[in-house]
Amino acid sequence: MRFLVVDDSRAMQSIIRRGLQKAGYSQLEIKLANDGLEALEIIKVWEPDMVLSDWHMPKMTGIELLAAITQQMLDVRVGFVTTETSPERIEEAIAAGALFVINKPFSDEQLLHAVLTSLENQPAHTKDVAPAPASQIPRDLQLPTSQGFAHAVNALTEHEVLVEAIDPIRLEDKLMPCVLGLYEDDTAKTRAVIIMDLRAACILGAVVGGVTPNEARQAVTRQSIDKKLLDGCKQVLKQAGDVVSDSATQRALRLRSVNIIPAIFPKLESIYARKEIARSDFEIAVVGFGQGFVTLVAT
Amino acid sequence: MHKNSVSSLELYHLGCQVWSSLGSLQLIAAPVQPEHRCGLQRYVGVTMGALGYSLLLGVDTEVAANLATAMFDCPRTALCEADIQDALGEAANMLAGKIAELIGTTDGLGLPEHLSVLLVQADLLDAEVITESGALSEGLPVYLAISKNTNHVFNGT
Repeated sequence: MRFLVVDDSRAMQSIIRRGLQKAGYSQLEIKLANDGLEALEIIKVWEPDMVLSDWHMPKMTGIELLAAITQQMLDVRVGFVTTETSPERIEEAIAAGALFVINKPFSDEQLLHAVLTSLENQPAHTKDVAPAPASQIPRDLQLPTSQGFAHAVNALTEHEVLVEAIDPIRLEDKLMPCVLGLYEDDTAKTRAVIIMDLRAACILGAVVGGVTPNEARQAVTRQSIDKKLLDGCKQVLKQAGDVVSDSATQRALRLRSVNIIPAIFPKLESIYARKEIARSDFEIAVVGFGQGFVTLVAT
Repeated sequence: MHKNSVSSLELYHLGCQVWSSLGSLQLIAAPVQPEHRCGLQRYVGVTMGALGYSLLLGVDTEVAANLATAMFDCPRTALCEADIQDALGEAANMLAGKIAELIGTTDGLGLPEHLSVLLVQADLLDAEVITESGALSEGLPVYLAISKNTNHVFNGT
């Protein structure tokens, strides 16, 4: 993974670089640039996966850099790390194609959350979870039982993941942040959503990804999931798609995307609010790791 | 919610936010002493948008070096003068950003400018100091001020 950090302050370059090094990428390359002009030259030659840019810089500002990237059709994702807090400026950046704007000062967790979310979702479209029109629901979807879900997850790990069916969990703030996966059918239509609270995501990500219980607990405490845990979690989400199938075609669903969701958003609420919808709620637990909640909902 | 002024206490709290974000550094509230206004070793100014406000951050070299050590995450001996200036400028930049957010200025921030004591003295004679706050960082004085009409200084003349 290649990151280009663009900031006229070497102290800030150092802070951002240290933050990125905590993301857990096994192959991480970071280059530094002092202004937009220097960055543009590096982008053309080095082709980074993501540019993290300051806004106010001499020679070429961050927003001018983003405009140049767009104009020259360079294939790179851009996020801002800036003291700029004006809503108009932030809107301008997002409209110009920035994936996020982080305000200085920031924590490593804030930085990693923004970066990982943006890289997992290209782009981060929560619109994909818009519920289907009522006339199309329910087109039957077979959601897994607790045994089916346990069987799928336990195929990935030597730890025993205990899964118990529970009453529907209310969608509420204490479940946030969470990991949200979208499943699609053969027609690329979104058919199901899976939500794991942070505990479940860290536990399952840890047991599949070979992460220690202590590291998983630390991730829960700091409310942030790193790359290694997220990779493990994605394996679980992918496997879970195999036990969700379309009744008509008997074909399993395919994991389309994985998002880290910091807060409840309206479209998610609207899905949860639908009473006629099929859903499965599970409590999962692994000895030594703890317990968490998983919900699968047909859209 | 935006406002057009910042109290001394708010200014101090914003300073605390910036300091604490840079590692284990802390600011402790302390009264402003007259000599802090232009008697410290280093000053940085940042203009804040169309309202004509400017931030002035004053510290002694030891405080700036501590900031640099925290931001670069390296021993003091590995730092050069440019690193110390850079760290202090970035700290001032972050503080100015927090103030601009609080007062809701919609124009951009200027780049941090390192000011000589003479320029600060001249500036404070002409400028209208809106708010000022004192603090201690590891026992050493820190001076924070928001002033108006400081263009002659921040134009670098």
